[in-house]
Amino acid sequence: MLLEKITAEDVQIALSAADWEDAIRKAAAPLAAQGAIEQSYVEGMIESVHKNGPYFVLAKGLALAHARPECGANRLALNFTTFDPPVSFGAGDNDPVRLIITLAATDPDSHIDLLGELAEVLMDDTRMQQLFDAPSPDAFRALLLA
Amino acid sequence: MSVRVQVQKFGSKLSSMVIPNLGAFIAWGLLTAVGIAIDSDMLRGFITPMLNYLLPLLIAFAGGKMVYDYRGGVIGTVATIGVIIGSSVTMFIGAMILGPLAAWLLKKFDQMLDGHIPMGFELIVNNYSVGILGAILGVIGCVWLGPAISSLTNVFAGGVDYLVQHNLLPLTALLIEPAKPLFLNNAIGQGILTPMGTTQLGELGKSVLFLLESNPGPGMGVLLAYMLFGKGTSKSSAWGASIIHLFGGIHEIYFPFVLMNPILILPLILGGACGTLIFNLLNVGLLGVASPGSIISIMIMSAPGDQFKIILGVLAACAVTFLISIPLVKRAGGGDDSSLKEAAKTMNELKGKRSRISSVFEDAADTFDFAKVTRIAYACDAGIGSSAMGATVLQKKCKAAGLDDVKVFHISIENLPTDCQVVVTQEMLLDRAKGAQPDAYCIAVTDFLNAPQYDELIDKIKQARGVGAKA
Repeated sequence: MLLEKITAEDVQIALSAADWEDAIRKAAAPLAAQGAIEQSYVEGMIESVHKNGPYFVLAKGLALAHARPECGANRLALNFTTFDPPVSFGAGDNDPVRLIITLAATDPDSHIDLLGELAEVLMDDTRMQQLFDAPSPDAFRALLLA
Repeated sequence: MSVRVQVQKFGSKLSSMVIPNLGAFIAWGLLTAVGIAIDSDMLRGFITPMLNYLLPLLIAFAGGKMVYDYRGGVIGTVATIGVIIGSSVTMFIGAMILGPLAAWLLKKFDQMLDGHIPMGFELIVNNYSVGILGAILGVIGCVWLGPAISSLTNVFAGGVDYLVQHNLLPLTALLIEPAKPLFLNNAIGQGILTPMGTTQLGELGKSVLFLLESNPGPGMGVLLAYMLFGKGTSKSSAWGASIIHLFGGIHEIYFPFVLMNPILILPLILGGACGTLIFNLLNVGLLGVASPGSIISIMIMSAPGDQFKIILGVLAACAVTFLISIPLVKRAGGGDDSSLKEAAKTMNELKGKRSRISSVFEDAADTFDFAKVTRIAYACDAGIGSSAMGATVLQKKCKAAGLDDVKVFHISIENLPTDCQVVVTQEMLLDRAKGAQPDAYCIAVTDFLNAPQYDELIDKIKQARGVGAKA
């Protein structure tokens, strides 16, 4: 399972953010620190929302933040960040967002299997709720792999 | 795949080499018509070079581009110049063969080299591969293919001459009129009659072949019968349809009337044959292709002095079809609304895609055929994240529903249009998706993971297929 590669360091729990831009920056900070993405990738994600609306808010409470590979993704990486209080993205019914999954992908296809596994977990409403409420990175990771 | 679909596909390949270039054919026809009419040496200077070089090369380019994009177009054109030089007849058939063939060879050649070109040498290799391969094909075309295609063209031309001289040309109505409502009209008109007619122009200065398929008379006869003796919607829509048919030259508009009452093929054949007989007896012709088959474009392209005789032929065709159609239309009771809509739907199925005409007959309601859905594009702005996630979910659902042959793939909205029947996208991106691929069925979702639209779509596909299997 590809999700097993996720470590507790890839999870941030119950951060608070001033607004959605701040939320994206905070969620992406660890990836930038690891060198998985450049700062330009973070700006790319924010600009994409300005341009296209918050279309990467995929489901109620869940955002899959990402930009184009050429915005500055250095390798395939994921980060999970939950927010408390939740953050409004102006995404209508899907607001407010409790979990931002930041995805860095270097091409359109290499991460598909990983997203497939992730979709399996996220399609289950109860599990998604549990992830939103996870008390610690380790607990989050355990739920993800359960 | 049925024979009809195969012929249609082949025909649409042939016509897609000609249709994009119809403007050039018309320019040539106008220059020829005016040049002869006012006896201008300057204008007549256009005739031969345009006919021998420009038009076949344009066809070759379109044929090559169809197979292998711009590169294919270039090599198809280069190769075709060989057969033009190596033969004395107008090389439409040569262009239609060599254009796509040369492009296909280049494509294979490129595939062979792919990955073996050292970095930085791509441009020189690409240019010289087209150059060298094109030069070789050109010589082969000049020495071997040119003469071979010349004799093939002569056989066709001889056949046409035989038909014309023995007044047998009306028999072609037996093939042309039933083929038209099956959407083989372009295959016949642009694929066969246009190149052969243009070849004839070289010898005779005008050709009757351009009139065979474009004659609006027979279709007009059917529409007249409905206008006067039909009932309900078919009666009222026949009026508008006849204007579009006669002046707009879009013959597709009468096809539904025939499809809901197929016996009408009979009067169409007889009317078409009668019109062609008159064209043949009066020895009339057009100076170039009349496309679309509107009475206006036919008049513009008529050989000088033939206008009146051509109108006579069109009227005769119309009258014969009309008179024989009357009892058949009366007997059918004119058809109610649903049968005409039903026929418009059949028409789309026959064409294999939505006809631009069908909207005249149907309400805005969906007539999208879900049974044909095999490729679904999931589009988002970047084409890597949301769409990939959504596509994964939808693919899983399709698999679970037993739709194993449905492929869901993700794509950036910028890369639309693509080869698919359905586009799924985020609500905010819907307008962009529709704009990029208006012929696809577009679905907007807000919840990528559990959108109710997924199940609706799968239900619709399953239902459409279920119905299709029973019918």
